[in-house]
Amino acid sequence: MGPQEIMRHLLFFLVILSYPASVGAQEPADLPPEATAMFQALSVVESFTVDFVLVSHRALFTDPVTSKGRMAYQRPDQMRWSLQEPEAMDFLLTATHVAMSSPGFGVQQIPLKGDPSTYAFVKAMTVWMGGDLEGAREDFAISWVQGVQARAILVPRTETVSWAMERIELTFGTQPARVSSMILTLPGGDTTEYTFREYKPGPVDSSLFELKDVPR
Amino acid sequence: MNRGLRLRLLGSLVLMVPLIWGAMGLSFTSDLQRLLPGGGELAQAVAALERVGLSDVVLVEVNGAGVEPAELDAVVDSLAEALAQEPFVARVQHRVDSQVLSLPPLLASRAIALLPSEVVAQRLRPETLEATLVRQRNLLASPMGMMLGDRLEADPLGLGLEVARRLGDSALPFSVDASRGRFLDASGTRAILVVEPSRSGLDLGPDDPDIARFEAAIHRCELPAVWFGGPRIAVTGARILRDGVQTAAQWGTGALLLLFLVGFRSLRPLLGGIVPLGVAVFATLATAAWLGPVHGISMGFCVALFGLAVDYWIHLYVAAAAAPQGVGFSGRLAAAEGGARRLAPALLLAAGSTVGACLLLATSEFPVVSDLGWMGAAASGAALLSTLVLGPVSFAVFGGRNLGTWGRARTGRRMGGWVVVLTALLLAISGPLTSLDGDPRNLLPLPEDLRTLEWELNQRYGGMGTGGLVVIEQESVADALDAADRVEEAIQGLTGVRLHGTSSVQPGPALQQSRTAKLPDREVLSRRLSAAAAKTGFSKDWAHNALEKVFPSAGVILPSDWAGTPLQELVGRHVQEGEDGTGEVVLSVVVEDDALALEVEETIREAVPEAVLLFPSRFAGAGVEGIVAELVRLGGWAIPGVLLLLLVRFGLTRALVAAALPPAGAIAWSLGLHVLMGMSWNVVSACAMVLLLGLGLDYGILMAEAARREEDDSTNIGILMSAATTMAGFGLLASSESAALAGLGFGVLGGLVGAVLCALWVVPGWVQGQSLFSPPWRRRGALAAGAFVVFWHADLALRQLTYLSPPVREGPVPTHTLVKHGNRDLQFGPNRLKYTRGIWTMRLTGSPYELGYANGMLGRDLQDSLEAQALEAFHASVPNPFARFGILRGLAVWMPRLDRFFTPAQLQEVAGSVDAGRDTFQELGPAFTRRTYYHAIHDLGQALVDTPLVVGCSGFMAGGGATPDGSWLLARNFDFDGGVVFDRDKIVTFVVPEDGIPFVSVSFTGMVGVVSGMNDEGLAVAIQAAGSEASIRPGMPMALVVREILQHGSSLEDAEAILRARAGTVSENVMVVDGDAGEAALFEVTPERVERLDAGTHLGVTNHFRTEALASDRTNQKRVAHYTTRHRLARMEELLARNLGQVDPRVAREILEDRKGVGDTLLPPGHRWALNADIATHGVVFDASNKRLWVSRYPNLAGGWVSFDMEGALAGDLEPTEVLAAGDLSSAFAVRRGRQLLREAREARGAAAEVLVRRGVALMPTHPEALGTLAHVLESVGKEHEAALAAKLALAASPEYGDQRRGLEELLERLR
Repeated sequence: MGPQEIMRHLLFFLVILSYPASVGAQEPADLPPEATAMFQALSVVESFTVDFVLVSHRALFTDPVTSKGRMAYQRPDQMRWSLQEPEAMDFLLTATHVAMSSPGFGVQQIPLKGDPSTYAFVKAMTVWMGGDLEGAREDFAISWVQGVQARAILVPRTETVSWAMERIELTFGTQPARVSSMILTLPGGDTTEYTFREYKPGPVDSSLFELKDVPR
Repeated sequence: MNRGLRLRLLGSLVLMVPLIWGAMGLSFTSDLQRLLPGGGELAQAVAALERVGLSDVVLVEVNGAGVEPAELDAVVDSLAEALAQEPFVARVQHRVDSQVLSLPPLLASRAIALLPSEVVAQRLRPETLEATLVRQRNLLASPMGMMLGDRLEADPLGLGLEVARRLGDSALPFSVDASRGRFLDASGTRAILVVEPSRSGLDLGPDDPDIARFEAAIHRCELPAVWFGGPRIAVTGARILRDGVQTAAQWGTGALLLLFLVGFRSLRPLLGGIVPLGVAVFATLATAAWLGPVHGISMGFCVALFGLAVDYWIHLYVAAAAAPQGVGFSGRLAAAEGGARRLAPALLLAAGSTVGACLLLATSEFPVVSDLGWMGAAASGAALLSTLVLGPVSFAVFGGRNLGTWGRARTGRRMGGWVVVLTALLLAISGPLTSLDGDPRNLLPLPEDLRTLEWELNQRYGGMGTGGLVVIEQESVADALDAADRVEEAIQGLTGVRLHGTSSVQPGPALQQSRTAKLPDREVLSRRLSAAAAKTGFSKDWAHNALEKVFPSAGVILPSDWAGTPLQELVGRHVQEGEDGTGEVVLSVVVEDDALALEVEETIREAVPEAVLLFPSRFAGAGVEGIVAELVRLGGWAIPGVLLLLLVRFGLTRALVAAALPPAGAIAWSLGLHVLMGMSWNVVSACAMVLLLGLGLDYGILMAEAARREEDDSTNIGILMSAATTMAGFGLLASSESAALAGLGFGVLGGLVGAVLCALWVVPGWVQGQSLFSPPWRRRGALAAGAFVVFWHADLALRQLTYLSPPVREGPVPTHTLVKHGNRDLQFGPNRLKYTRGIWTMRLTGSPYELGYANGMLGRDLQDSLEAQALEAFHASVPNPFARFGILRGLAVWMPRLDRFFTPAQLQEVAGSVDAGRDTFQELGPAFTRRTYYHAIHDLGQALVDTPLVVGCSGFMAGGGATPDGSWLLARNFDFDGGVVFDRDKIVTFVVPEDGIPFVSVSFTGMVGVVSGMNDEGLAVAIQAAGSEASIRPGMPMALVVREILQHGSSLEDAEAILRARAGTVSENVMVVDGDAGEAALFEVTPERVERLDAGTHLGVTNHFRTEALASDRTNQKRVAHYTTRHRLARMEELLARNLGQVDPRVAREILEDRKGVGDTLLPPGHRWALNADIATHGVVFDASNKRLWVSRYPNLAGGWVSFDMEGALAGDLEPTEVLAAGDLSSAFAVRRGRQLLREAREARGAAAEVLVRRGVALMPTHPEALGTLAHVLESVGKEHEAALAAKLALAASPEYGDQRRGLEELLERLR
């Protein structure tokens, strides 16, 4: 084997070696500009409200179950999910707590500290709502699929999150930039599909995010 | 200096070394158990209290008034985080945490055993199952479904959640609103954090560094925050004791200095006293160190002991200074040694008596008292020895001839008689009026601001100091848990009582098995689950999973099964297993009202007789028993010992009696001054008795010895100076904030005054056979004694004149056996008394004598309680004993021979009741006389009608077109503010007389008469006080007239005839409904006439007359104008008109419960213009047509109602046919407590009155009585601006009475 061949093999070996490194280094530098732009566009929205339709496919159910309601978001970390169908329920998510009001549970408050699965869920919700790309990358490997409607696929990279969910698939809309649907897949294969309509950016009544207003 | 002297000095120095070394090891404690008897169930219960940590729970309250809720939440979270870092803190609970969500999976598989069977049965019904599944499905399909999936799968039917909820309700012994996530008060502006300390708070020292850090963390809170709990009481108490001891030590030293300077005009005695005093001090401290750790109270006693220890030196100094002296050191030494030799026998005897007294105290069962005894013995013994051994040397060095101010003054002998008279008077008043406070908690000093804080927190959150502990010890844990379940089951029947324990997570095996046995068959449940799953869209797998979760996987759950779970700590705190396998369960009980404590105690005792109860009331009761036992025991040793000592020393001479006079005088003065100052004795201050015996004997012996030698002048000086120094020491204690130290100080101080007076003025004269009085005073004394004897006999004669002889018994005494089915279910032949569903019921049958006898036999406990409370109310209403005496004798004079107005049958019934009952209140007169006069109590109350003692009543009659089915109703509130027992212990009595018509009466035990009743022929009668100008005159008490109507009348005409024949005592509104005939009438009765007013279809009745003949009566018009009767009647008529045609029993009850004013205006709770003024001792609705009745349950009208069917109850079935649950009790209890506080405020003075009235206003913030009282109290303490404001608010709140309005207007006028 001559020196050139040796050099060629060495180069090939280096290329092979460097491949995983380049894959690993793809984030964030390798996300396409459209993805970065989308997250950037989302990250400047201070607050919005949106109607949602949620379809739950669970092994426990004989048929998918549909829920409808309205969601309000206020940067940096407040969300209120108000279900109207099939039953009125309210959920308030903040950086530190989840409060819920449902006919079955009554009013409950769950501190996120010490409850990793709930924390993972809330964080997952918060990062994509707020367009927090850096936050998302802490827990998820993100891949971008360009198309008529761009999609981002978030796969947990930490055990804390993977224990709670298998993947999140976000579909984006433009004019204005927004998440138009989301599919959450749980470790057992159950999925929950969210479709968002009537997106309205703009100020949201701050009293919506006070716990006292969570109805019984 | 001779060899013997050198040896004495050397020996003393050698002795001092171990004493000083020993004193260095002194340590303190504030442990409450040092204040309790060493053994017995009380100590056991307190140990349990300490173990479960309930005494240590600390509440931290953050006041978020004026800030946003989110800010308050953030501050609370931050504070909780900070506190959790503190070493003093084991755990902080400050919000609803995720446990409620995380526990259900753990609890689900055990829920069947943990939930009441009826709850499980309800949850497993097909329709409930479906509803549950729909909700579970909706939640799973919600945005949070992903998070909740595992939890819902583990608890598919929500049974675990139900257990967790119940656990949440019972685990936190406080009433909080948790709906916002934090623990908030009712207003939502204050949040509490519940802190569990890492170590017991009972023995915290005053400067505990952990507490200092904890307090600093609270002070750093951004919002105002306060804290309270057992540790705070302990620390504050310890601080106050320490400061008090330090202050007493400083001032004591100063006082000694001053006394020596003033008394001797020289520093020499003081300097000379340092040596013997020093020895005593170190001996005392070394003894305290040996006993240690000693309670702070004992250290306070130490300071006083030093004043006592210097006594013997003073006697030596005075004797030596008064004796002829040689020149120089040796001359003074010879004089002092001569004095010591002369004094030695008397000093040894005197000191021996003090040491003996202290050693007696050392045998006490109360550790704190025992410590005091040892320390006192050490101080006295060391002081005597050092005085005799080192005193002469000290005198030789420092002594002189100066006796200062006292010189050789003689005391006047003629004063002796007056001292004896004064002493006798003090002894006389102390006999009946001395009181004991056995509650050890009262020994701990607590400043007023902390007491107020404790009270406020109790009001807002409950749970502290309003309940008690139940300790159940059995042969095994399982047995103990079963017993705890029995307690819980028994408590459930009581309103206003909450139990906190383990039942939600740890019921006993018996209950668990019983619950599991009631579960539906597995196949049945499987089918139900499958059907429900299919209907709600769940898979078959889910149904299978749910079935497995519902059926418990294991057998009986025991505390060990919770190991490793979050519930282990909670269960472990309440359930303990001993090394020998025995089990102990501790439960805590919270009562809404202190008046319920006794009932709770009886209920628990009935359920588990061997349960140990730790209630505040038992603290006091057991404490008093302990004190009395101690005094009897100590006195039993001390008094014979003293007499023996004196006999040995003096023989049977006048000197023996003389020497005994100062100790007797000391005790008489101490007792008497305590009474005059309104102070109670406690376990520590009771020690003063024994000490006084020893100290008094000191003076008596010294003085008697001196008087025998006729050398009493210099002894006078010694006694005066030594008493002054002792009084200085104990007097400083008297000013302590600690009740224990203050009681001890005051006890000894007062007693020493008596001892000194007797010693100086009585003993010498007595020993020398001189007369105590001059001849003129002897004559005057004889006259006074004669006058007293005449008065005494006149009173006896008056009592004899008013004495009523019981009638000759008709028929034999019933010979049935009293059978106890339980403490509150008694049977006597065909008669029965039963407490059931929250009310007492009784059935009586037989001849008049048998009726009374059965009543007395069954109801004797209730009668005692009723009589005691009535007496208490009488004392409270008429606090002056002379006025009470006048009323009692006046009543007998005003209504002589009341029995002549009773029918023979009624007298037989009273006599039967007296023969069977107990007679524990003889001070008010013989039992038959007393009980006979009790029947006129309603008539006597007439004189007070519409005053705060007796409000008057509201009622109505309705029927025909006013009721839906034409039935005739009589409904009334019986308002009587005579004491809680009249409300709590009311009885529904069903009487089947041998002669006459069976009837039911709602009243009190032992009462032959009737105020609200209905007979078996549908005649319902109720009386309501009224007033007229016609003079009240002796006659048949109105309640007996009603009894006669019920027993012998069956129509309005019968009633009218009886009224016309019998009435004549007082003015009364008598409502009569004839359900069978369908008619009703109001009879307006005065002592002079009876007017009839037909009711038509309905008629409201309060406390004034309306017929043409009586409406214009001036007294009647005054009542209408100035009292509350017209307001209540207007409201009653408004409500009747509004509900015309719809007045069924439910509406009738609602009318009686109405709290509003005319036109639906809002009135503050307890306003006396309302029909329900929170004062009714009973409310009752009689359905005379259908012969049913509904009776209100305690408290007032807030405790719900029970109904009875006349026919069944007269036949012996005393169980209510319907129970209507209690509503909100808090308002009724708040008004009750508020009124009590206002009463106390009116009796108190100055700052104490203001504290009380402000507490009252906090409970009744818009009530005119509360605001008006506040105005008057504020005026009395000089806060005129605030007083005027309160007065204006009170006037705006509609004062209830004309007098109140005028009083407020005059107040405003004064302040203008």
